[in-house]
Amino acid sequence: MTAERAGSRTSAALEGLTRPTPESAAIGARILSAVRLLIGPVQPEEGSTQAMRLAMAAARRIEPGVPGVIALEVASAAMAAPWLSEEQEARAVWIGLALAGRLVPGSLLDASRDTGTWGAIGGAVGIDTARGLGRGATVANLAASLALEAVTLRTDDLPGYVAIRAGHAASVAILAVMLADAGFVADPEAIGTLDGRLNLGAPLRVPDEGWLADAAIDSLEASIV
Amino acid sequence: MNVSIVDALADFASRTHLDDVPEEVVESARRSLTDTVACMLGGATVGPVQALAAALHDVAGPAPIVGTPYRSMPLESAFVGGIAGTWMDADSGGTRHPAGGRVPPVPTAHPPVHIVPALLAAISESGRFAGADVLRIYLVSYEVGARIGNATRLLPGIHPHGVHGTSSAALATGLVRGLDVPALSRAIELATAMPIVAALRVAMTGATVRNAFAGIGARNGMIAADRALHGDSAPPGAFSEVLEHGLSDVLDEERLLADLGGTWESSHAYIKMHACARWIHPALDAVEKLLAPDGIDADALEFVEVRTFRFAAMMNDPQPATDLGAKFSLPYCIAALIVFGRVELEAFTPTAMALPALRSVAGRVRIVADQAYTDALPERRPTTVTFKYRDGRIETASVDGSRGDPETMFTLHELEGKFLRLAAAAVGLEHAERALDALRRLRELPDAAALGDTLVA
Repeated sequence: MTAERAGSRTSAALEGLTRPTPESAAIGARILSAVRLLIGPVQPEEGSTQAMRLAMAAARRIEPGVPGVIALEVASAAMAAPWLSEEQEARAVWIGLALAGRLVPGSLLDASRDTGTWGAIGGAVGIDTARGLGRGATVANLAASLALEAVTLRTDDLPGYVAIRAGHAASVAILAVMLADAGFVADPEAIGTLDGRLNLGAPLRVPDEGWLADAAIDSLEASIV
Repeated sequence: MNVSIVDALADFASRTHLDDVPEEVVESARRSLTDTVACMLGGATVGPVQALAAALHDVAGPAPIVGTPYRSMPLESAFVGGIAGTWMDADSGGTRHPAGGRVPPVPTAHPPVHIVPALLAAISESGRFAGADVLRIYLVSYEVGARIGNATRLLPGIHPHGVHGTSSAALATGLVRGLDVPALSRAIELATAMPIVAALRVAMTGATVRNAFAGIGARNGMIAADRALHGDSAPPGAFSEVLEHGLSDVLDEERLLADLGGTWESSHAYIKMHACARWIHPALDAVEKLLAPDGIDADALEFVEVRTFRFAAMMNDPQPATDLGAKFSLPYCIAALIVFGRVELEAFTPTAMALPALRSVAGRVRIVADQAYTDALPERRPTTVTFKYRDGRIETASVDGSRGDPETMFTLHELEGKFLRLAAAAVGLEHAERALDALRRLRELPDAAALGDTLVA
């Protein structure tokens, strides 16, 4: 039931998404390490509620910067995903950020629009790919159907609200994978619909798939006290 | 201005007691709550919901997942509950034409299926909780949700689930948690600032992730209440930003607050007996008029003609691929009613959907979009159905709308029959009867945990 044809935007976003090399997996591991340091001691729990808690905790502790928030959305989902080894978590983070980096509207990111959305899609695909299940289009579209709407108001002084959006993304990444496991059917055009609403049809940022991870590392590591 | 709107809603919810509310409004709310629980139980029987509930099972979780043997964290319980509650497409909604006057009517609010999963999940953490308080919280949360739905106009292509029901779920959770008025205000505004981009096309294309919209809405409502309790707030102005310049483009503030506590919008709701899109219901009611008490020989039908308003006529896929697609297919639902005598759980199982006899009848349904019928919207939803038999007989029935509106509401016996059928399918007849008894006596129940115990398989 989950093998529906992917819509054009979904296909384009996923096409040629590079499998992590040892170098790129190392970047994923660095991001995970930074997020763990931000959060502090973590209860050994798993699942979507735990992903939300981790993302909320991390989001309250980083310097303002959307790449860092998207990275912690993806990393929190990977850390709380009940299926992944530590090595798989690192791969999931890099794949998730590579995809999110393609989907976001451009380098000028906005916390009220770009949190709670692209990290959910990237996180879901990263987890699914790291599990070796190959359902990228399905989980991407499932996550896209549950992504948050933009609320275009100033959020700079509201870390709590941004943290809630980040928690939503981390949760949805795991829930989308669970929905796929349970046989839920996705809308093949979900990413296209989301893109039309939030992104107004900006082109995919395909050529440099590591840019978001690189930008996030700076933000995350600068936030560690 | 908008802060005061949200404050007014929170203040109303906080200070209203059942004794302040007309008895018929309280009874309407009790029936609505009972019907929503029925929908959650029925939806919990389908394969994907059971699989999801099993995956989210947490032995240490305080919250039962309604209609299953599983427990989970409250957020997951609310998520699955919202999914189950909408899966059958038999849940209730508002009958008022929302603000802005758009035709076709924009989708109305569906607060119950956001509120009840959150309410039951929140209660699971609260210790002893009186049934009268459950009913009071449901009623006031529904009233606020219904008013937000009536006072707003969703953008074309936006589905209401996961959008303006979320604030009702936040309100219900906040009231269970004992939040004061300022915190309830923050909860409402935070929840309003957490809408998903709920695309109507997801439902229209039969993608069953549509059923997760209300689940995520119930879940986000709980999160909003909990974060409000810890002092978090939405960006100032978020309420109007989302509802006037976001997924809705009209926010009629006067209508939202008009005679709050004096008139009850939550009583202007429909309840469904057919488990499918409401635009299809007039055609099904007309078919019921033509069916003999023991059914008819479907093979004897040459064709079925449905003359209806354009927006029902658009639901014309005779071979839907998923059960949700079938619930948005007029030919399929008419065939299901003729073959099964009812459009409920049994009509949408994988076995039913593969039934050649059902597919054959669906292929003989002809649909005509009638402009005069379309022009009658939204006050009326006229539909005429004609059976043409192979022996030349012709039978015709017309309706002006469907049953289940406030003016054509089902009897208590009919509503309780729906509850028992769906509940028995999920938790067995003994539990179903105990649950129904608890819901009948909800206002007198000293502890609503007695209800929760009956809702698990």
